[in-house]
Amino acid sequence: MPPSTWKRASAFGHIVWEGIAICGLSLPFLIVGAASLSRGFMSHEHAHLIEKALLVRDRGRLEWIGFAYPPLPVLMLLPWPILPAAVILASLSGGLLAWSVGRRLQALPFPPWIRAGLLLSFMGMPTILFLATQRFGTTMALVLFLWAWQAYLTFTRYGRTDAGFLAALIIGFAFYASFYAPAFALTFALAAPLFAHTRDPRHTLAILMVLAFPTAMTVGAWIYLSWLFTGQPLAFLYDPGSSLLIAFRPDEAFLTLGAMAHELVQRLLNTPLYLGVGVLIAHLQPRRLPAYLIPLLLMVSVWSLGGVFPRELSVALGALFALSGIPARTPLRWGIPLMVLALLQLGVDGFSTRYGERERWWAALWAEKPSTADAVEEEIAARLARLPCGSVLADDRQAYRLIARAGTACPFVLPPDPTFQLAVSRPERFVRWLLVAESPQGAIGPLEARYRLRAPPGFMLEASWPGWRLYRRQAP
Amino acid sequence: MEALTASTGPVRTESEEGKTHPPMRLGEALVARGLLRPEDLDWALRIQAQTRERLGQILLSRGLVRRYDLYQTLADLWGVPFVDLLQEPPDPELLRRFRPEEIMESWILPLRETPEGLEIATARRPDAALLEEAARRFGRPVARVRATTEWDIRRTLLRFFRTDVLASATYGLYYRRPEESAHTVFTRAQFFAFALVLMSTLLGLALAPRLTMILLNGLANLFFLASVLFKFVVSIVGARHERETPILEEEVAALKDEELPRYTILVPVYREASVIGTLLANLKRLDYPPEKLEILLLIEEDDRETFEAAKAARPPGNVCFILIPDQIPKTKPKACNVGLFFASGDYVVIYDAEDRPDPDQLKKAILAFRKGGPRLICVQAALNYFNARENFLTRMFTLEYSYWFDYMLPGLYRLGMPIPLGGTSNHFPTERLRELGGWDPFNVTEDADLGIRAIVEGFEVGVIPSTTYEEANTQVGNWIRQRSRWIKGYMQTALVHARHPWRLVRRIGLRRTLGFFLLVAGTPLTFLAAPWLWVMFAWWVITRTHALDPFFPPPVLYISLFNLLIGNAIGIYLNMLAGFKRGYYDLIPWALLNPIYWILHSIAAYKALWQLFTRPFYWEKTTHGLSRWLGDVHGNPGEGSA
Repeated sequence: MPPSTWKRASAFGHIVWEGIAICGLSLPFLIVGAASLSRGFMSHEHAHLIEKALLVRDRGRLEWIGFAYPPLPVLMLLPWPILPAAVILASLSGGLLAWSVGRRLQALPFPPWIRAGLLLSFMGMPTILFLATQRFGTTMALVLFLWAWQAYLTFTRYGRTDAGFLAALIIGFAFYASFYAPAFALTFALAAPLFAHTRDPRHTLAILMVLAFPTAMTVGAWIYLSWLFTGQPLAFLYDPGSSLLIAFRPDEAFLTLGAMAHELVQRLLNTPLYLGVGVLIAHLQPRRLPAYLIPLLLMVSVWSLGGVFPRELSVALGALFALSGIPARTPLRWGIPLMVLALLQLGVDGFSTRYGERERWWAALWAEKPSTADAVEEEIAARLARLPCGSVLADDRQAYRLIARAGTACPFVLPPDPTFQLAVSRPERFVRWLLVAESPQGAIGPLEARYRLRAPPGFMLEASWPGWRLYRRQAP
Repeated sequence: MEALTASTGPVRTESEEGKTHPPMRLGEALVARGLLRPEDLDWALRIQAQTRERLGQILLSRGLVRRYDLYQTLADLWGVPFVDLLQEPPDPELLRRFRPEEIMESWILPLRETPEGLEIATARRPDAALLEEAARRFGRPVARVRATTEWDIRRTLLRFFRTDVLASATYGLYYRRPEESAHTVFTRAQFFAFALVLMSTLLGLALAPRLTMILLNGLANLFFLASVLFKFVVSIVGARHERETPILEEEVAALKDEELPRYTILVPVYREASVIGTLLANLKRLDYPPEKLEILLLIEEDDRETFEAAKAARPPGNVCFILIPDQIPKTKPKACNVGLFFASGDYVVIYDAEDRPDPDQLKKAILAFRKGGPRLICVQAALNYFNARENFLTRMFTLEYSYWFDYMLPGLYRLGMPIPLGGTSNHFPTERLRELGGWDPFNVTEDADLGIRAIVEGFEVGVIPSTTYEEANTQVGNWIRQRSRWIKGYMQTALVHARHPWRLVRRIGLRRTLGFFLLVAGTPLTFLAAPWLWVMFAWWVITRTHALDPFFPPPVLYISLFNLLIGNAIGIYLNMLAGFKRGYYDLIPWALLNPIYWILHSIAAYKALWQLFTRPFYWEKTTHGLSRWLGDVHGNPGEGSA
């Protein structure tokens, strides 16, 4: 075989082998995902993504997404907008994440069993299992964050400009998967002068521009598109399905300094490996410490600016930064203490599942049958799915879970549809059914505001479930 | 070059009177005649020990003796009379019996025919081997030998073979491979194809205007998308390999002068009297033994001003003036072809008059050729500007060039794509360039065409990590003239190589063909199409009209939005990156102004299109020497402060 052919064959073989490795690492996530599927569990994020994908597919125009956020996972779900697809994609992203961590661990001087143990402890963390089965968008964003961070380290450590560009491009692209990408980009840009050893303000400004420009452009492009198609340039910031604003998630607000410090300490205690590796870096490579502290800086910055920073994201970032931040020159004797810290982290994470959606997911995993809420949603969705196209007026800011479970957006008239506003005012002229939510925190959207307490003229209550009312137009 | 072969050894000869002269070395003879100072001789001998070059060549190239004095002394040492070919020209009848290439190769010029045999003039030592060679070449025994200078031989050849040299320089490629020459702008098939497209479009607009507009809009946007993605991928590949330097500084330092080949530098100049001094100073900075350099200053015959300035600059003996006969097309490639005819170096490179090449560039090129294998026909050095910060235009031009030469060309090289060469600083092995047919004088970007032609012929083109600093255009009018020529040249190149598209695919493969069209045809098309899209966008932004909605069905809309938002951002970002890599930190914010700069490109593109039909071979001359930073040749071009 000629050398070039052999080289090509070898490269191809390498790619195939890595593909197999990624699939193998996705397997545990797939199993957990299948378990939650069998219990009828569906996360809010997946419901939101599937609903948008269904909407785009049904209406045939991408802008029907309503510029809800984030678009990248929605686009990836377009060919197959069903719950198992979301779980599979999340699991594959999880496998890719584990593979990226594993590749970094290979550079460490520890024996294989310690490296394998570190990787397995990461994959076994309930937070990671949750993200890699129920948060496809977030997991994809984590992969991009990790790659960007690794490229950023190469840029700052070796001065490789190509790695700097790569970091900037990846983090810019990551904005289409996660709100937190711009914060990362800004932190990267602001932290870079610490490594650049330059007193030239032009150099500093250049680094800032090069690192932040792609993100600025992707954010700008999204704002422009949002304005172009919805007339509301910042609508994606306060969309209930994807908001990072505290106003929409008051339970995740840490506005005072004391509350912030308390939450920060709690989260740090949940990630002992992150703390341990931090000490190690401070000891071995103190100059790298600022880059390692980026997740903390990010969290505090987001809180200070009135944003939310989900706990599972901070735990996952802590674990990722810890495992991929262990210095390559770490002495062998540190292997076992790090392993112990990783196991401790696994245990701590296992005990702190009682918050947010994760609690529901955890419970569903161990339950024998679907929860009542899931069963009700299934029942409503099955009923709505049978109705004719364009016959049900609903607001997908609340009904996204039902639409996702229905597996079709065809029966619904939704806010992105041009007739939605008119239909809210005169439903009897446009639709035969009205689906109205009863939100626990008060009315969201015009439909609920108008018809929560009374049926629209000409409509009668056909059915009601906890949190939902279905009105039907009376025969003339 | 084989001239001056007998310059150092002691020669015992007989003069015409039959007296025997004592053996004397050239250096001693020059000192004895008061033509050379003893200390200069010592210095030259030390150089000779390092370079193993002929002493005469060293003395000439260092400006220590005049060519005329040197050859007169040599004639005396060789024991043959000297002939001044200007005063005693050869017999034209006799001369025309031979090919000028043959005379150039041997540096032996037949002067006259006598009953005993030929009288010849030579710039080489007239030993038995030379006499035998002359007899073999010219088919008659040599009766009499006279010494002359190689400068005289060149000049005589150009005088007596003016028509042949000109014909070869102008029509050489056209006669040998007409299908590769831009002499024919459009072939019949191309005319037919264009007419067909035009008619179909007009018919479509008449019968189904909406559908036709959607198609045109969609095609333009699809093309933009492909072009943006192609350039992005190529640039990223170029960036990924920026650390893989093919030539290390240590390798350059390890090169010994004695092992360096002879190098010819071609410098075409036209109406550039003001930069001659700068040019000579810049070439003097080259880290290459001057005695192994042959600098051919290609001056147009009607440009007396530059010629006089060049003479007044009193350049060293390794600089030769070649007067290019005044004939249409008066283009740089024609001048270069004439220069190539007279080039005697193993390698040849082109520099413009205001160029400041990195001192070690020639050595890097030598190393690249040594490593590159027999198919490597050309290596291109990066071009950049020494007056980067002079004004808006020079800043934008510098960012653009940094991107093109630091990312695009290395990326194309890594991907094995055709590389359109830059206007200067392309280095060739002389013979291989001659094999390829030299430059196409009818193509106004002969360099880009040559790069593509090389790939088509199965050669390889590479890049070297070295930079030549040039003068960026400082004036908009001048810039548009230059850019319109470049774009017209790209159009010509695309038309030439698109004559037989299937043959092109067979010869270079589909991937390279697509790359070629995206790059060479894509560049003009992009700039021609862009204004229409800008106008539509501006109209919509200002009026918020819905009149354009029918022409943007969903797929077209998404692609055009991608181009608008991401494509333009990528274009700007790539310029930023290139500026960052070069260390031009203060230029990076200027990259945001690229859209304004692109407008100038579109203006130039329309001018180029107009000229493609009206004056296809017209060479829009770029005026050099306008920069106010030009005078400071000792500045630091890397910082752009010169």
